[in-house]
Amino acid sequence: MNCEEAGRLLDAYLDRELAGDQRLEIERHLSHCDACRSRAHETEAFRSFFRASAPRYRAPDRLRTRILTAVRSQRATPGAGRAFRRTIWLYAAAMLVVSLCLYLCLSLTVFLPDRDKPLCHAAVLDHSRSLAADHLVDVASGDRQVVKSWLGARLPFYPPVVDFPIAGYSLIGGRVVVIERRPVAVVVYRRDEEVASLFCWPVSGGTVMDRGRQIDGYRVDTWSNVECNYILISRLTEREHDALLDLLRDRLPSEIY
Amino acid sequence: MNLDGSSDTRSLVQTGDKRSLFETLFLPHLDAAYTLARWIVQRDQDAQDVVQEAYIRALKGFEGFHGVNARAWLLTIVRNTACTWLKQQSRFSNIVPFDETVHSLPVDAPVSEGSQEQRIQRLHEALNKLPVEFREVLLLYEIEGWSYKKIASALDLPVGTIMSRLSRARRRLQKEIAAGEDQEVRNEL
Ligand SMILES: [Zn+2]
Repeated sequence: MNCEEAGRLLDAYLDRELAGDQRLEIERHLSHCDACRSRAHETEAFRSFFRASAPRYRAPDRLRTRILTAVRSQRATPGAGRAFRRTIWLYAAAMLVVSLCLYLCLSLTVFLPDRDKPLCHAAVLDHSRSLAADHLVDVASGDRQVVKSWLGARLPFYPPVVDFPIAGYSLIGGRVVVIERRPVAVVVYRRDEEVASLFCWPVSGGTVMDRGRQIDGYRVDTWSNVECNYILISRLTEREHDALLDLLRDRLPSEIY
Repeated sequence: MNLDGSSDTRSLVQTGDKRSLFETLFLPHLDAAYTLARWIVQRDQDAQDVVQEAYIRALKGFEGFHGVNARAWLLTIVRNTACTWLKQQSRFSNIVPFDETVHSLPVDAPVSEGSQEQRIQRLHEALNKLPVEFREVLLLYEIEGWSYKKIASALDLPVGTIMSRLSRARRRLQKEIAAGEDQEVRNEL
């Protein structure tokens, strides 16, 4: 590989988007080309500066209200969007009350702040203990069928187990834990030196909210789909954690059926 | 509230369920949706309109959503809505020519603030000057953490295009920021 080719592939390499052969080739080139290596360092530095400094915005409260109003007036008054804006505040207030009641009826907890927190803390504790004790898994296997049936044999449900070897997250196994009195499957992944635990249990006892948190330096994300609740915990870099989260959220639902 | 002009209680309840499910799934991603819209259409008011429109589209298309990834699904709709909006704008205004005075860096900007702050400021300005095709790929990759493949499929482009856009976008930003720093040094001399 020459410098021109290396330059063309450099970003994809740093983004961990290069597969097998090309990856090895560019690594070989970087190991003996000072110019490309210094370019790689510059690009790497720029990427972290960019990620830390690129603008992120908080949606104005006004917009939140507009959307709630619009969503709730859909179908009710087709094409009457403009007339609505005049009475938006009154309407929004009324709708908030209505929706609060509706929410309270549907699931007592939707509006309560972070009711999943104790659950997440318990999961983080379990995750960090498993690291400290160097006992990450009860069943060590990279074969998802093996992990799935092992877990399923010890739990009242079969957890979906997926893996992403190509994306660099390898399945290393699973363990069974009890968190807040419920049996939970934990599927464990490794990326380089870091370990991620995915906690999973059926939604029949209630769903968790979709949100991300930081607990004791861990990234903790909760979400649920029709079958299961999930908590993902890791100290991967933000990007790697998010990428794994996306992969899981994309793949898990289709595993169930 | 007279839903569908129908008094059928069952359909009323179902509509309510559907909407609250919709809100539970999609409202948590409002900041992300708004950020994406700001990156694409840039002005606050326009971004707000785009996001509202996108949520309505999402609600209408909700039946077609099968619980895969609410955030990604919503962001794809925001992106498409924003692009439609940009197209309409350019048809009305016949594509506004690049405005140096608005978009160029203030040459005699105060040099008093810390240089890191200035660097961030310069980044934001450089980002605003970048073609929208570059901005959206940058956001989806760097901020949302999507893979090349996922961006490619959302934008309906080959993976190679995503790869080259990202790399060109970074080069441009790096160059722009470096140019700003040179300018600053010259001003100080
Ligand atoms: Zn080289």
